[in-house]
Amino acid sequence: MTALGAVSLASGYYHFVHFATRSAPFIPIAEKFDLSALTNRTVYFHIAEQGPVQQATGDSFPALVSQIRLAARVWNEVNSSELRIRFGGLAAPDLPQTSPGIDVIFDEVPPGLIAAGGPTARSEAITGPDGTFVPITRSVVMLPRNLSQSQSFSESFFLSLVHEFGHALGLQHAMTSSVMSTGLTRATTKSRPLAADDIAGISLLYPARGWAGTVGTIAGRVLANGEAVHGASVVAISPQGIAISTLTIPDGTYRVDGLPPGSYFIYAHPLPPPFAGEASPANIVLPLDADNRPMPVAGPFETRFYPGVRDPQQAVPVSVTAGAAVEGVNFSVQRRSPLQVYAVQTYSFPGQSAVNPAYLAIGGPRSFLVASGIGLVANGAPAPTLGVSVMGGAASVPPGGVRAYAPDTRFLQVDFQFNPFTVEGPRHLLFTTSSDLYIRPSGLVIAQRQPPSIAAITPGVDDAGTRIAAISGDRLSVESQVLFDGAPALVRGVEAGNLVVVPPPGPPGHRARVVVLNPDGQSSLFLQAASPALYDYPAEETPSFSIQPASLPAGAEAMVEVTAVDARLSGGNPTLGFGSSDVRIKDFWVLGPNRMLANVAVNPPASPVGTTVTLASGIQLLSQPFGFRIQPANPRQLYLQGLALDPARSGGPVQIRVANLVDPPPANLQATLNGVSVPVASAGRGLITLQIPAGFAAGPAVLRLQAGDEAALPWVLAIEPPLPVVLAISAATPALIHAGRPAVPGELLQITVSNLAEAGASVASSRVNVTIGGIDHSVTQVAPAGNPAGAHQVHLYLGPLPSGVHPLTVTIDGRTSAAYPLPVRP
Amino acid sequence: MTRRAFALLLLAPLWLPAATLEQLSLDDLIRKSTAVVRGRVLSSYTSSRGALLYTHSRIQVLESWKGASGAEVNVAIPGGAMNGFRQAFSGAPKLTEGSEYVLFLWAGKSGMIQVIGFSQGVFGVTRDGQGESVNRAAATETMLNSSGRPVEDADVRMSLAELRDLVRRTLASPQK
Repeated sequence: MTALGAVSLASGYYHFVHFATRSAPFIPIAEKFDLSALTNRTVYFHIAEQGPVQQATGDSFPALVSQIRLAARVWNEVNSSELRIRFGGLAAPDLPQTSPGIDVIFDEVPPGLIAAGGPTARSEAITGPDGTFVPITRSVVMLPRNLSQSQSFSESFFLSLVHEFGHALGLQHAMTSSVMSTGLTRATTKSRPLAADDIAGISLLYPARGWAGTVGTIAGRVLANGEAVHGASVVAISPQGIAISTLTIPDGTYRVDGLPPGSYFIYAHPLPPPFAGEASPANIVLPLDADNRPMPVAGPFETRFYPGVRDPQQAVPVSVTAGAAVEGVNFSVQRRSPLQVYAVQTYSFPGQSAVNPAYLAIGGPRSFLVASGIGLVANGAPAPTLGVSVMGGAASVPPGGVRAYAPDTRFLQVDFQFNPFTVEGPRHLLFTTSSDLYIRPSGLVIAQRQPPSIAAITPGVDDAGTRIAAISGDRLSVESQVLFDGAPALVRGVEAGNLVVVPPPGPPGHRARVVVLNPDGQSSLFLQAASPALYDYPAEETPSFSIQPASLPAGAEAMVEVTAVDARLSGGNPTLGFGSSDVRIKDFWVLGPNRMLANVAVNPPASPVGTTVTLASGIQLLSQPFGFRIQPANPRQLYLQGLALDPARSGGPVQIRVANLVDPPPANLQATLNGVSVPVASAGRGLITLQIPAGFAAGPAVLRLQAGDEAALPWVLAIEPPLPVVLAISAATPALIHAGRPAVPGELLQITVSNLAEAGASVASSRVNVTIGGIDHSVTQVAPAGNPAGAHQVHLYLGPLPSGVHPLTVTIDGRTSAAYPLPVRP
Repeated sequence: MTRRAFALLLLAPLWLPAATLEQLSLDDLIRKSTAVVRGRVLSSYTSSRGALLYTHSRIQVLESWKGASGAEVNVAIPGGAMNGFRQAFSGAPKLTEGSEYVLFLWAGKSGMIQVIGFSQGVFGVTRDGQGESVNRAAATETMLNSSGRPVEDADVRMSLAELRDLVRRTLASPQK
């Protein structure tokens, strides 16, 4: 452990920030999960098993859990972040746990609080492989026990869940209309829950390998009347695209990191003042100094675009390239009296409900939005000198287009005209008065068409006996995502004008709310918020399951087998959870609708307790309180613990770590894979090397090891398919390519490959990647080969390559062949 | 535009910042709270309750405007620091030792007393040449509550006496 102040990778983003000192130099240190302490860089979240005591009419606990899982999945799917988030099942209250995790709890909360989330962190920073940070030990997402006023399927409740999970992961409020913005200005939707700012924020905390080289940085300083401004929000904004922001640190400097290459306008603005009882500006938890004292942010100043102008037409864009920083983008601003305009919400009316954020369809029935916020309206009319405009010119506000909203003059109506070349996407609004400038990122979102809607859902069964549903309605397509409560359905296609889907598994007799999400960010809830479409699951036998073994010692790793009845595990994104961050799933395999295998590891310092086992698939939620028990550690028990080197493949060796294996090991080591004896090539120093028999089928295989009188707990060894092998390369004529008949750039090549896929199987060309001389080549076709049997032919046109022999490799699903020498002569 | 369109606007919920909050009007604060007190923060400490840390403030009750209360009341606010750990919730109010507040409080079945609506139920009390006043920043625009109805938020920049009187008048009047 080190004192605060060592090297930090964090910028001054909207994280929970600590500083080592109250004087320069200031190095922000963020709170975050310690990836090196997490198995597979995965943090588990657990949902309190007692659930809410009250829910809205028609709502249910399984539906709520499916929405919570969907919200967590939003963060899990950010590829530029290395942190993975996984459902660890329902959890008993107050369970002692030693590993980091997230607790979703239902607590007694006073009126006015709908949800809250935040990290629990140690008071000191540590330095690890990922730099210096303050480790989050456990985080909390708190929901009320009484959820009778919150429909779990709604856009707003879902986005609140995503927002609170963001807090739990280490993000604070942002000023860019992202999901981490406050509810006042948030402009994301259930279909597009994250904005670029959210992705940058989480990626800065948990950067995936190589991500930093794909994005750029803008850095500078904000001074007001010559003094450093702490807590100024600096935003990089693309007129017809994204906005990413940061906060200045106490010396006034800032870094907007995580910017995709492109051109950005930059503006600096003050945080809005505490609003309607807020505890701090924008309700941001202020940075803490080394004594854990809050470091206050500066007061209001004039909002300015770089290089210090008020008019965005005079702003100078800054060009960002990947892996580079643009320094010296500085602001010198003037302090001012309190802001006049801020906290602007925008609404549109695509149908029978108001929608926030405001989506306007080009050619739609209404081309205006209604806004509310501080400083927009005075005495039943627009505030004096108020003007509204759109950045980027894709839309404009016509003369007279800003007026009080006639049905209720406490609101502002803004009309728009679209130019003929307008493309869909977010647009940023500028609200100006003679003495103020307020920029509302994504205040308007332009769509090419109206939101989707569902007219009817007709259940059915296909020829194979699979349950399906035909959805009729408007603006439904194969690109739509269909949610049954919070569980995605499998979209089969469009038949006879209906969207045909396979519903996710659901509890017998369950009534699911069905919502369609379109890729443009709109959902059927825009038109049907009050009465979403319904789907009734048949009243069938209640599913059940059991696990074997139902207990493991602390420190153990072993296979757990799940055997279920009527569980429909296939197709429902199934998850097995043990209700404790101390019991981790290292890998799992669904072997059928009612069978699953998992390798499970118990944290060595875990306390002996009983935990809840959960089997979730789709909306279906099965649980067994005290279904699993952590036993005291057993220092003599043999455990298989994972592969030491390369993956296991048939015909090759595999090295496996074994805990508690004595040295030298017993001479009579015996191993079996799926009951088939396999030779132990060597053993010692906590390792065994097995020789996988040639032709052993790919897939999970149960490994058992006997060492004298001691038997290791069974463990699943994943046998990977063999690597592809390039057998020959021919030209189209056909002519076998060899040194005497080299390939010619531009000609069609047929590469004969074995082990590409099952014999005779069709393979999408998009799955196959061919590299020749280090250059990727586009595959035009993959087809089963007649000769030799079981092989495939991969077709491509040879690119421009110089004379010589070039290595050619074929890759499919992450498996790459050995290099094949390809002679080339132009 | 028709009146119907405005009615549709009211379906939109208002989610306040922070934690996700439902905006409460002053009328809501008065009616939904189980106690309203004017008090001074004597001391604070942190305790844990399951996964949550709570900062407890001992409040010396100077005046009780609603509900039964003794000379002191213990108010719990989510978050705090304890045993080398710190838990933070955006939007949670901070009560400063020695400072004076008007607090709109709510007691659940567990008996734990919390501030209603996170920061919304905390009004700082200040004194100047004109007397005592409460100074919670006000929502100056008409906003919507979670039921879609406009929230008639009163100006909360008022004297302590005015707030006291408003609480009494509200409690004496029938609910709207």
